[in-house]
Amino acid sequence: MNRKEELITRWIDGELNAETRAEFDELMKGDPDFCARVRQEAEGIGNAMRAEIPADVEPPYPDFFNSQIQKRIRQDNQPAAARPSAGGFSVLWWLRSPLTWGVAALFMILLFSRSGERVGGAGSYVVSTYAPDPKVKVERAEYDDDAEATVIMLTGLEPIPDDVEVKGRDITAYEPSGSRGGGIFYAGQAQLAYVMERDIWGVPEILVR
Amino acid sequence: MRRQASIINAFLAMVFALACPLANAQKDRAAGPGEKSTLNTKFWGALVYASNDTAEKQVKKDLALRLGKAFKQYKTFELLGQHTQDKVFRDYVNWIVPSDELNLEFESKGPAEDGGMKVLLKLWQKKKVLVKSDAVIKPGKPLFIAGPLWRGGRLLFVLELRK
Repeated sequence: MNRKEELITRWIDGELNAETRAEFDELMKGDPDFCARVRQEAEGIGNAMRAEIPADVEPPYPDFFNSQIQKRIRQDNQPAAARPSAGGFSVLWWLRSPLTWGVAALFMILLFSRSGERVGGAGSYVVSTYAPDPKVKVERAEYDDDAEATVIMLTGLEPIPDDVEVKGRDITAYEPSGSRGGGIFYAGQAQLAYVMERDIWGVPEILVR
Repeated sequence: MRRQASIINAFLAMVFALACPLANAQKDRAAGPGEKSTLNTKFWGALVYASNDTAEKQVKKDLALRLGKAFKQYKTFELLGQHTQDKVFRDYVNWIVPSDELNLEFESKGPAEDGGMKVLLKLWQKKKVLVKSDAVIKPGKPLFIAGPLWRGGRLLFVLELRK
């Protein structure tokens, strides 16, 4: 990797310090041809992606993907002094890159856009699964011909203590309310059963029962 | 070297190509229409306790048979709670809450090409997401999600699209 490529890689990874940032800015000013080529290649790849991936295919885990983008923007907006030093190269530096995750997301999109076509039979099917807790594994996610149902098997979940009383309700209707994705749940004809609110992080909480 | 530069450029292109539509989509959803448009679709969700004990209130025979085939280690399937939802809201998050222990958040992504409905699911246990899934649900072909162990058995979540 030459110095130009190294600088661009570091810029993409958010690992430019004050010194290398200045060097990068000089590079962008001093070599317009190189910048134009980078832009052109990027556009070419973008066009190829748009041709390959149907417009209605979303990344499998957009919230995770967006969080990586937001992280990158936050890093870019930090004062140079506040940024972590990028003094030495680590052999595995690329593993820390948000863009490594981005490429992984691209592969997942391509994979899932094809798997959707592949499994489109008579039954329901799962296109993708993701367990946010690393301790939780999706052991199985497939259509079970015998059961005529799609089965998602999770392992690694914390068992619910025996003294916890798990109670169910017979809910007959739900009406969205509020701007955060909460709602009101009714049992029977119009009997209020639950009111659900979500906090700023999107975590639901049942307020009234 | 040139190949490495191309890979780097691919990173850039992908980030911008995917991030921008996503950001816009989020904005559109937050704006919210005046009226709540709905899909003519009925969902049924249930919280089921699978065990080898006797059950007070078994699920219906057909469902018990299917659950028995999917989860062979259990013999009885007790219906703890259920939620029948006649309306699926097009521009809103939908919930199936048969219990406050396990509940399901889903967004409709429209009809699937080969029938059924595309949905984006999140199974919650209280305040924790257990699993997220993109799935296609078809009428009469339910989705079973095996949840946490409890009292020698296991809690299951059943989601079904009904005609």
